[in-house]
Amino acid sequence: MENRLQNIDWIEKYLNRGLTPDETAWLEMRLESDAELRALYQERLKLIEGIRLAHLQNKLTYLKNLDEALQRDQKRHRLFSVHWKTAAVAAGMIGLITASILIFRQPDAVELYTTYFEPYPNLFEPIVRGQQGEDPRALAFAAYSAGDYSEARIQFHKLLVIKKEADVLLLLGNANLILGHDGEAENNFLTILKEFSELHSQAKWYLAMCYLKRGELEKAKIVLKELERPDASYSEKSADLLNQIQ
Amino acid sequence: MTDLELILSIKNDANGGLEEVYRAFREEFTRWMMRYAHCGEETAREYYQAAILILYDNVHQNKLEQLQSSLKTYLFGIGKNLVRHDYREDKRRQIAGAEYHLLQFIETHTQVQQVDQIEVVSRSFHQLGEPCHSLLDMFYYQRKHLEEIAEQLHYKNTETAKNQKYKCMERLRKMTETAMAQWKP
Repeated sequence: MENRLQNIDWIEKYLNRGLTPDETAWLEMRLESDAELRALYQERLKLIEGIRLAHLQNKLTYLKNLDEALQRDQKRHRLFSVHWKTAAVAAGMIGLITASILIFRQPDAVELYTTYFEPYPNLFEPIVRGQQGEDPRALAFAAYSAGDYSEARIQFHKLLVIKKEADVLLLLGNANLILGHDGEAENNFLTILKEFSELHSQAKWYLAMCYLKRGELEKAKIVLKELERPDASYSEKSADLLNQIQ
Repeated sequence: MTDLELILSIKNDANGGLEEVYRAFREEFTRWMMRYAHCGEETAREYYQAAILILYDNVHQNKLEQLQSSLKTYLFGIGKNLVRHDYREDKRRQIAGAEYHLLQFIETHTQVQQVDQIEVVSRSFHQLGEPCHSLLDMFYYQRKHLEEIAEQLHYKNTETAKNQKYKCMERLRKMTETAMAQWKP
């Protein structure tokens, strides 16, 4: 037993390139001459590669979910373009007076929020049926995925007491927006921007949504302009929305 | 974001960074792949997902520390290799999706002698449950130190985390053995 544990330690250090050149040479020599050690090495490698494959399979599921969300966005964008063209033709036919009303009409922020807001999908924690158990993280993300935002909000709050995480804050902010806790939602997104280096584009997009919902058009415009840069993830959607506002 | 920033964001942030990269080249890669492989949009997207995963894996295996070309060139290069591989393996081409490419990638870049068993381990790992799943993933894939793992998973100290890691690996080994026994004719 002791010997097996020691050998596993050696093998893992070898795989992580944590041995000195002399130690590496010594272990490689042993691997050539010792069939038992060689079998242990192969077994360890197989387990580690299996873990690697499982990790990548989870990421593939994540990418497929993300792609579906992007496709939905694109469809909505195309649909909006078609509607816009139809509206333009109709406006031309109605005449100058109607057109001028349309031009000078202030956009309705809440209407824009309703058109553009779609809850951020749970791309962080793949839901495996029957595996939630009592794990609060799994419970929180499963409730969010199922659209039970009240339950998700309760569970996300519990998670934040243990540790503040950007993905939890992003989904909690979304749940808060849906449930009408707009002030808390704003804080959730601002916390991501202040305290984390990740998920900034997403936080900004939903912060803009939050401002729209509260009718704060100018604030929403400032945030959306930051997202309009060509290298930002939400540039296309933001440019669209800014066109609407302006 | 610069290429270096994108690579770092993949490495440091499991999903936010991956999403940034995925969005960054999605349209261009898909259009290019449809022309290059004479395929439809759906197939091109499968190639893209496989290429992104290979890029992601190479970042985590520290193979991209000295990138000679731009990230975009590197990614498109992976795409070309996937298509070439499919043409060589013409018979299996019809079923080639991202999942297939992923498996091929693992099997051709490993020292494991019985490559078909890797998938069995992976299936067992998906059923392993918590905290073993997170612990082993953090240690063996994300290459986190035991100190960090002990803190994140609330273990008393690194020694406890190390013992737990050993027990979890033993559990995975036994589950895999059982699955192998059932799998063999």
